[in-house]
Amino acid sequence: MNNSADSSTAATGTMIALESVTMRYPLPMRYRQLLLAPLRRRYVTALRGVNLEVRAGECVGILGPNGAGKTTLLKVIGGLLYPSEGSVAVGGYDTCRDNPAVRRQVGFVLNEERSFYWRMTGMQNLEFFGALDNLANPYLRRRATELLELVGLNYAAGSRVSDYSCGMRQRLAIACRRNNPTRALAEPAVLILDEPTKSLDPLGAASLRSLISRELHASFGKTLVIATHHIAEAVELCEKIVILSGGRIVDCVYTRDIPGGANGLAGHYRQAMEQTEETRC
Amino acid sequence: MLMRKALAFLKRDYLIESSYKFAFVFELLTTLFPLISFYFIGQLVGSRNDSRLAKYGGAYFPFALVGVAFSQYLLLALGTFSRTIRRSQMAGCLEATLSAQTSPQVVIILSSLYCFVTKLLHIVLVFVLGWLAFGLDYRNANFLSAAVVLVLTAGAFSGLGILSAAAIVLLKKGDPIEWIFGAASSLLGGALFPVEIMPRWMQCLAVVFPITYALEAMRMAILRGQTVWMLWKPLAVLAATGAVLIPLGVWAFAAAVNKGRRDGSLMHY
Repeated sequence: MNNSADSSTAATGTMIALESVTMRYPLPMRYRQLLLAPLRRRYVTALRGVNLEVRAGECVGILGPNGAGKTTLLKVIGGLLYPSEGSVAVGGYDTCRDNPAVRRQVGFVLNEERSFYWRMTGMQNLEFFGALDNLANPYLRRRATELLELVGLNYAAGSRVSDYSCGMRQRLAIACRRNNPTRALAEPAVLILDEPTKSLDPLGAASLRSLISRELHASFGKTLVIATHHIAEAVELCEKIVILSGGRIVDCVYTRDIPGGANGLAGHYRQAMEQTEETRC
Repeated sequence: MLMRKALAFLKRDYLIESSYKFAFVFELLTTLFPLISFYFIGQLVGSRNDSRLAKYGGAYFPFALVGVAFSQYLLLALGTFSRTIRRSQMAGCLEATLSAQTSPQVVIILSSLYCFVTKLLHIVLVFVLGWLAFGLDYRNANFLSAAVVLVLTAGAFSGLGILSAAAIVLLKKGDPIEWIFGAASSLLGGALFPVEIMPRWMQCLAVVFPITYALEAMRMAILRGQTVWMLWKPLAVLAATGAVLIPLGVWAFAAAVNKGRRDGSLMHY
């Protein structure tokens, strides 16, 4: 591990730093375009000049309408996408140049129902992804059992993932991305969650939020970045809220500075969106 | 650590494949049916005693059995990498796998292990059945040479297979590498007939395909008992092909994954 990167993180307290990050996706070429102008690619810009700093142990919520660039921002932070322009550093490591080091720092809970092997059990999935993360038996099995207990899935460890409910799969995803072997349980690392309570019933969502705030953030001091559509959830879980629209950060506020809790943030969010619309007009 | 990861991939694929119980049985039958078909074709053409089969022992059935069983194995080696990638893309697991602490190159190579192992068992089964049910004679066979041919050929075709997986990451569907080497190999490699019966220009094309050398060497090892030393020419071609294509494939795959990360197309299918 690069000691200079770690020591720079310790010195500044910055865990995640984005500088002028722009992300462009190439649009698929139509047959006509392939014939007439095969070398001229068209792009859609998902992020435009994003600057963001997240301190170690902080919990940051990303709010924004559909298509605002939330998932792209998370994937860029997690090193799953490389930015078209600008730079992203996690724990002092550049996501493009030191991608393996970034992957060691970050756990990514994808907003994908199918990020598991459905024909394998929860325990078998944890063991497989744990082996990819360089864990070995008997530690791996003990660790997988611990994690299943932590997320309340020990009773379903031997059931196939195809038999799990949405909530159970979300919990399994969190357990899976907690398998970070380079860090002890209590040390800070980065966990990225993309709409963690999507398609969960109210009780399931409340239980998962409690797991995130109580176990991941309060007990272990993880740096969390959470994309969500639920304003109340953002207020409950996060200290800092980033509002994204059209690929730009249009506002960045601390929840403690907003009076009125979820209602206050809702007003703030609406105002930010209206201002963005006016700017566009 | 690499061995542990290899075992994890083998276990994953075994658990998934064995959960489809009927598919396993049908796949086995698919392997066995050609054996019976070629036995009867062998009965039909065997009596003609064609001089072009003389260097392989003269009989058509063993010639075709080695050709078909081995070419099936090689074509599988070619396609397994790209199929693995496409299956992971469609299952949604590719991004999760690539976000783990294992390099994409290791992931692609280890993902194909299970296919190689099971298809090797299929080949062994075909040859054992050929011996037990159809009286194939292996007294002349040199199994050491056959094993060396198998390893070197698997290496050469794995290089092509990884290139093919890189093409799938970029193009999603319609892989030119598998098309060129898969479709043409069956025709030009001489799985069902000796390369010598083709027109001169087709024989010249056949020289380009590694399967031609692989089948020739495997037949000579199993049907004529030739030693590794006697087979040095085709083995050298296969070794050189693997030495060039494996690093090239690994580099191309890493480049394709990086491109996928840059333009966000890694999970598209």
